[in-house]
Amino acid sequence: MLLKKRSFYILFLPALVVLIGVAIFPFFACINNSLRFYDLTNPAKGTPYIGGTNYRLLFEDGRFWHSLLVTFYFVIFGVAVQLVLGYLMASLLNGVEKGSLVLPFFLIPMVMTPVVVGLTWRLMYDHILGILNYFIRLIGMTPQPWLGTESLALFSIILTDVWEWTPLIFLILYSGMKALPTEPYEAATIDGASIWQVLYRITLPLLKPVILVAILLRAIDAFKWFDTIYIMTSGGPGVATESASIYSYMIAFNFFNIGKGSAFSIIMIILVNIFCMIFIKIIPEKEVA
Amino acid sequence: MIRKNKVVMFILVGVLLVFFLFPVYWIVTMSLKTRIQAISIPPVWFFKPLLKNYTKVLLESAFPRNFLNSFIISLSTVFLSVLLGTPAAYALSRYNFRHKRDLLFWILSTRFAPPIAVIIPFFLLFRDLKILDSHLALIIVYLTFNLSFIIWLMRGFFNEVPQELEEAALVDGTTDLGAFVRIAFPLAAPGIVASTILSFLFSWNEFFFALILTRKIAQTLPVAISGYIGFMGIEWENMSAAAVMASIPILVLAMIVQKYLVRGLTLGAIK
Amino acid sequence: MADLAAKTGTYDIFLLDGWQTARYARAGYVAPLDDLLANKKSKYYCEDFAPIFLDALRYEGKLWGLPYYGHVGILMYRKDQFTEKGIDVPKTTDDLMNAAAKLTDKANNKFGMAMRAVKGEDNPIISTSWTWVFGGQWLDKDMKPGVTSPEFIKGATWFTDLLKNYGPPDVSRYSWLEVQNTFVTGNTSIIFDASDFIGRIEDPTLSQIVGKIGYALAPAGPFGPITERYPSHLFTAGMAINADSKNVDASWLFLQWMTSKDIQMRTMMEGGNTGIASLSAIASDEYSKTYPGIPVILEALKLANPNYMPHVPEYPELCEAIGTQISRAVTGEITAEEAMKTAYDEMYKVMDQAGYYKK
Repeated sequence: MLLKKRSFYILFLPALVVLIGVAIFPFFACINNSLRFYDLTNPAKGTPYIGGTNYRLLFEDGRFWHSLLVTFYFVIFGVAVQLVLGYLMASLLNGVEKGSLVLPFFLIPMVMTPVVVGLTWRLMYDHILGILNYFIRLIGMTPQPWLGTESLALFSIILTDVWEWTPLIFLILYSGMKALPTEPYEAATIDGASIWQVLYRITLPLLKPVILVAILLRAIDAFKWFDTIYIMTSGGPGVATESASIYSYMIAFNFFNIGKGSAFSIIMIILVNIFCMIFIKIIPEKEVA
Repeated sequence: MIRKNKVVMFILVGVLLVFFLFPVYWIVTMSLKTRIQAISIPPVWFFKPLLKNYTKVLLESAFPRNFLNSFIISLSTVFLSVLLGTPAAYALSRYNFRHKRDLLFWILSTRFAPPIAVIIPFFLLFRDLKILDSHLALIIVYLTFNLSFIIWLMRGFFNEVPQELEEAALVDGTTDLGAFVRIAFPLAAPGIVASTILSFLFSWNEFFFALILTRKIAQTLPVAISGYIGFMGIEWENMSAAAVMASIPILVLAMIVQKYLVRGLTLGAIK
Repeated sequence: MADLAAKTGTYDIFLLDGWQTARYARAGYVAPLDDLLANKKSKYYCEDFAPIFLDALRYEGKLWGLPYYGHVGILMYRKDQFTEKGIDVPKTTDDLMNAAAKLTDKANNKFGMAMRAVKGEDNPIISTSWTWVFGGQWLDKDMKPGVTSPEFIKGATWFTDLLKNYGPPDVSRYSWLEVQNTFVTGNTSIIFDASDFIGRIEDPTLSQIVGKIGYALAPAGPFGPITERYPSHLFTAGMAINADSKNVDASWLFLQWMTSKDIQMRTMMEGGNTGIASLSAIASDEYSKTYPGIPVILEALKLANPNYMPHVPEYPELCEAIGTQISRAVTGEITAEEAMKTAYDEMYKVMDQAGYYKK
């Protein structure tokens, strides 16, 4: 081992102390607050402990469950579409001569300030003033109320996320493909394997760690997704696009119900950790440690 | 046949470029239009580009201050993260102990903490300390996602640096800390650049924490831009001019370090 | 508003949303102004604030802010299209529905009516202006939700039908911003919204329909004439003093100066702020010459009722419950009646948890 024990602590402890400060402190503060009645705009009532009431209120709240469901949609469908599209893009550009030349252009969507992305798409989706429906009318199809109905709004908002973040998955997979060894493919060509056989037997297994990392990154961000939803629909119409991030924000910072907001936080922490634990089990040991 | 394939592929690449670049084109052209032109349907394709939106944003709004705020906050939090995170990453790369995997997972999981869980306690804490709407408040909160991220990325880069050079240095009488500073650190420099840029990008574009923690004095660009939805309507032309100016620095940085960026994004999973 | 809850004391003065007065007064974050008003009035004090704007900033008999911005609901419509189609200015809610129907031409993407229907505060502030003139109220005399009363449901049904049938297909996501944008680009014919819209819709750099706009009082509902119930759509932002302020006297002077008639005139003429609160400033020649429709606004200021929505601390939660459900009904995916049943349950829970129903 290269490092002495003492040196290890010298190098690691400062970061650990800060990490504990910024990660452990909020966690315990949240647990503590979640067990209290705590309304910032009702200080007269104080912040008495009320046991699990905040949790019970959440569990009885249909909107809470719905917000988790919406979040689940974002994580599952959003990431699935991005993964498939990102994979196809990566294969396509990997196969095109000088494909890397257009690579920088795909960096732009993920670099744009998300607030601007949200505002611009909000205008583009407008039924009357949106450029999207303008094109649709131009080719003689029926314009759509993109953000105006519950089912379509969910789709539209995911489309914006796809636009913004598929490039990330694409970049990760593209560089993964560039790094693949060539021998297995030469062997496969000699054996006369079909395209699908090559995909299933060679490419996917070799790319697996990279794909998993890409999924993990995007899934977690989809779980936390707030900015563009807040700007585009703030969760509407109705509650169609109201994710857990949006609803918990509303509880904690529109209604200033810190107690209930903290209970919400704890539930989200538990969910995200369950997800990560399952996921880390799938990622091969060497990728993590 | 092969030729036909090539044509199809080029067309597909073209379609993708249109899909991903059209909204960008739209933002850029909006920033050069009048407000009526910006929301006109049918769209105004040909128009005399105006630079007055840019001068207006630069001279008559708080944009320069917001820009400076974003810059100070992003730079400080990234600097602190690199300062603390790089040694920690090296330590975790070169030292083995029981439950290391669990510790690493825990570090990673702090990055995944739901923002609402982070912000409520910090909001209350900063309120008591009376440092809401200050640079310091955001710098601290941004550490929650930057520090663990830097540790993770940098550990990946250090793992790729061969240990033999450091071992040779130890034989020559250098201390292990000296080997880190003089040998491993320079070798991992490209990685540091990549992680720095990525962290900078995340901090620069962060909206949620800034929305809650800042009002006026420390307001950052994303919150300021959302402020273009004002009493008078969305100032589309000014909003997009601000957006273009906010995105250019980070885009230029990203392009310069593109190669490292891609490697960094994979959390070191690709060699 | 987080500033307030933040209790930083950093800012001595802040802007107080009229509908949230109850909440922040109860919280003790705002200083009452009555003593200051009685004893320390300066020459800057604006003596002729529109009374309803002051009322909107009162809670439990005390005044918590001086009106800095305010508006009421008026009807804004395309004079040219009314003449062309031979439509009279609507006097009743039925008239309005018919007018909207005549002006809607879906094939050409033109719609008769647009109003805010997005979830959140934008929606109830408009939609319950209309349930009000149908006789509905948010809360009944026992503080139980009133949204499932026949009157309220009728009003909500009228509102959602009007927008579903004669509004843009994505009107369920319209905030005031979309209402304004589609109107100034000539795509919608009638809007019911804030009186301060005049500043933008009559500005040739922002609007393509300057000179074509007519202004009228909003029509009466089944409940009775507008002198009894007017679709108020009242909103006020008041300048208020932080209860933690250590400079109360200086803040009070600043407050009066900021809301003085002089400054109001200046923000209107130079800053384009048309939501001014002084009656004589609104009636002034400068204002009337710049903008048409002033007599209508002055009339509406007399008719609007600051209690068409309740001044209770639970306003934000109730607002969210009603607004979200009406927004859903406007998408057409549920009926107004179903929507109001859900809203009732959510409102009941809010009021129950707040302790209103304890015996």
